[in-house]
Amino acid sequence: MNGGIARRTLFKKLFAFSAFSAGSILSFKNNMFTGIGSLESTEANAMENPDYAIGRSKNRITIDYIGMSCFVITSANGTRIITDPFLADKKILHSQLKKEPADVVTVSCGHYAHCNVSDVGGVPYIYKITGTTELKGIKFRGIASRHLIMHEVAVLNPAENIIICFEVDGIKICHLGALGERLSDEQAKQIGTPDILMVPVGGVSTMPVNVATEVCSRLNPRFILPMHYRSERCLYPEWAGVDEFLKDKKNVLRCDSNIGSSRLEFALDEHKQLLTLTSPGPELSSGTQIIVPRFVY
Amino acid sequence: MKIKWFNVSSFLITTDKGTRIITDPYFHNYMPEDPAPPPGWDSNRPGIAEAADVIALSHGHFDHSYIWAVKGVPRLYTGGETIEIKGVRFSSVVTWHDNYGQGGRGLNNIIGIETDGIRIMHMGDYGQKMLYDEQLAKIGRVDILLTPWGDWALPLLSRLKPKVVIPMHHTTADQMKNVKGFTQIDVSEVEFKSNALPSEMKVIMLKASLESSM
Repeated sequence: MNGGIARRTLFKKLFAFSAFSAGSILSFKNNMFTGIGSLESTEANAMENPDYAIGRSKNRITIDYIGMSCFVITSANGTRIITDPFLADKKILHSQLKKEPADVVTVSCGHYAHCNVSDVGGVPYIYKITGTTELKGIKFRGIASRHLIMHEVAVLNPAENIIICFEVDGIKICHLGALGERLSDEQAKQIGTPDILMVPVGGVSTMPVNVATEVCSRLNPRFILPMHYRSERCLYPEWAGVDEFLKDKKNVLRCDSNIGSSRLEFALDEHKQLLTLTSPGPELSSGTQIIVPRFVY
Repeated sequence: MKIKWFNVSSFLITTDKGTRIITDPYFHNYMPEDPAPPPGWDSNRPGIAEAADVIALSHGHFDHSYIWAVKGVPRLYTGGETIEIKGVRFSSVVTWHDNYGQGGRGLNNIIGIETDGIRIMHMGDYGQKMLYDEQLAKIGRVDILLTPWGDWALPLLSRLKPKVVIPMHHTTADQMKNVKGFTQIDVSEVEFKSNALPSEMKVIMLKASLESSM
């Protein structure tokens, strides 16, 4: 509560700086309460910047990384999905959402670092079940899975985890939640081949880093967004940092410096059916690409 | 319209048309690494394993916001603008959690739920010494008040003038027994009709439907 104003000021400063240096789409007329950004600002910048306008597509979505396992996914027509909102505490120093409006909030498990929906605004649906459900024109699929079995938490809790898949504007997204073990053939089949995969890489309360790597290569997504790892904003000492996961990996785009971007923008070419990262870019290759977004301060 | 008390501040409100609203689902399974439970918390109390169409949350503390326990694909109301969902009107009034303002335990929403001609106010973890006038004006008419109990409660009742008061959140019958109009009943769910609300204020202590079996 007390740090709210100071943090917001810092947030604005950092963000203004990053928007300037990246020359990107992050125009900042909005504050955190009214939204992380809007489609209008994207359009306005596209008009001013012809390079940016090249390759424009109807099917354009943005993904903002808040921290932990929390992303804000915005479709081309403005439908918003928020994944796994967390509760900040002594160890989780990420900025919590501040009544960020959503149409759907997905929750992968009952741990407080994944299911703090009280910070989500609007009147969203809460999606956290298995099976298929259509909400706001988007089809959600929940796949039953488990946390890491040996962890002490799992002893006390039926270690239930829901892998959540959904398709926004033709772009297939899969959020693994707090997955703790290798995928079974059945689970892998149900997931299919996602375009964008959000994968926990910190280990300990999720699967070990080498298993995370294995899961990624099995699902063979176009883009991998690592999440749920140790950082200066997430102080679990026994968790692995993101570097551990990135070791020996090719095609890594790191946006997690202070001047990096927490907003990613993707577009699907309607004819080629190829998903590309349109901001912050540039693309590294046509194979699987790992993007490390900066978390919102 | 029916009101059923699970336990703590969690109720199931079922409208005449069958819409199910669950308020403030509590965390039934505190784990070592979770934020500390409130003092005296009963960890053996069973969780709320019921489905809802709408979940209404007063604030983000885990004894009030454990949505994981609730089944189905509910809509979520966390305060803010007044809105109608499935014919039920939801509104909110922001208060402090305690009497220490910024230095205290943060904000709380009084949640208004209006259905079948009855206006219910759920006080959440309201803990101010007294209501500000503008909060009182925003609350407006109250038919049924779901409230925790404290020194501030009796003056609050005389200002809000509800027809029915249902105590919640660790309130005990001992605390309440000298309150005028108090009755304790042995059922968890009661039905209310807008044309049959009591003319004199009644304070009804329900039986919690989810108690830990000792």
